[in-house]
Amino acid sequence: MKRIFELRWRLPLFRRLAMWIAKHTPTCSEMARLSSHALERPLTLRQRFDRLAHFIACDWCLRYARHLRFLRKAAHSLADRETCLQTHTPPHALRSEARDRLKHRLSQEPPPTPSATP
Amino acid sequence: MEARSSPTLDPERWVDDHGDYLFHYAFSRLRNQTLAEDFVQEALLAALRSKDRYAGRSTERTWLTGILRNKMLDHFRKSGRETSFTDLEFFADDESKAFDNPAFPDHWAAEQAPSEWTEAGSSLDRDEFWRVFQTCTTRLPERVARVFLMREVDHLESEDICGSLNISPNNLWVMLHRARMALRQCLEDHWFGKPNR
Repeated sequence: MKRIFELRWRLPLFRRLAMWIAKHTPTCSEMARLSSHALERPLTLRQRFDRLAHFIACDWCLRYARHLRFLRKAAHSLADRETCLQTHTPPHALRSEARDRLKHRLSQEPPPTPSATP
Repeated sequence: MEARSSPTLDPERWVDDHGDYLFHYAFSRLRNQTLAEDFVQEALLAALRSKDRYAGRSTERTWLTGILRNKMLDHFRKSGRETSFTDLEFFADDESKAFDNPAFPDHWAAEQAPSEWTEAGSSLDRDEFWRVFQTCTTRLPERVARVFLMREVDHLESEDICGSLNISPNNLWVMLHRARMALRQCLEDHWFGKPNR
C-alpha cells in the first residue's frame, strides 16, 4: 500500500500538481509550526485544509506530523513507566549524603495528631 | 504491591523507595541539585504532615509526586517574573538550517528532512531508547525542557502552565514547538539513525 502511495511521484502529472500545491500552501516551516499547534488547540478550517493539501505534496511534513504524535505518545508512556517501575533507577539519583539528611530530617518531624492514627 | 497495601506510611521507606525517583523528577525540571533536594525534602515533610489524608486510592509514588509537583508549581509561580525567553535563540539556528532549501526557501532541506522511523512503536519497550530520550531532553534549554515536561509528561493543561510560569499561550506554543522540533531531531540523530535517504 505504502509502495503504491510512493509510486505517485513517478507520474509527471502528479509532480506538477505537487509543485503547484507547494507553491500555494504555506511553507514547510509554517507547517511544522501548525503541526505542533494542532496538538494544543483545534486548527481553523482554513489551516486544516492547507495542512491536508500540503501533506498530499509533501511526505516530509507528513512524517514530521507523525513523529510529533510519536513524541507525545512517548512522553505519556514515560510518565507511566517512571511511576510504575519501582526498581527503575533514574539517571539522576539522590546523593547518599542527601538521602541520610532527608531521613534524619523526617525522623525529627513529630508524629501527626494521635487521634488520626488508627 | 506492598507499597499500596501497607497501612503504616513509613517516611524512611519513602526515601529508600521513591527518593531517587522524586529527586529525578525535581532535578529534570529545575536543573539544580541543591534546589531539587530541598524540594524533595519539603514534599516529603508535607506528605508526612498530611499522611492521614492519603486514602490509598493512588499508589504511594503517585501521591508523593503530586505533592512535589504542587510545591514546584508554587515555586515557579512565585519566581515567574523573569520570563524572558532568550533560550529560544538557541534553536533559531537549528530551525533555519532545517528549512534551508536552495530551491524552495523555508521548505525542508533534503539532508535535514525527517526520515522514515522504522519500528518506532517497539522502541518504547527498550531501555536504551529511554536513555537517549532522557539525554535529548537534558539538551534542551532549561525552561523549554520544563515546559515540555509539564505539558507532555505531567499532562498539565496549557492554561495551568501559562498561569504558573506567567507566560502567554503564544509563548507557550512557540516553546513547545521548538522543544518538539529539537527533540525530534535529536531522536532521529541518536536513535533512529539516518537510513537510506
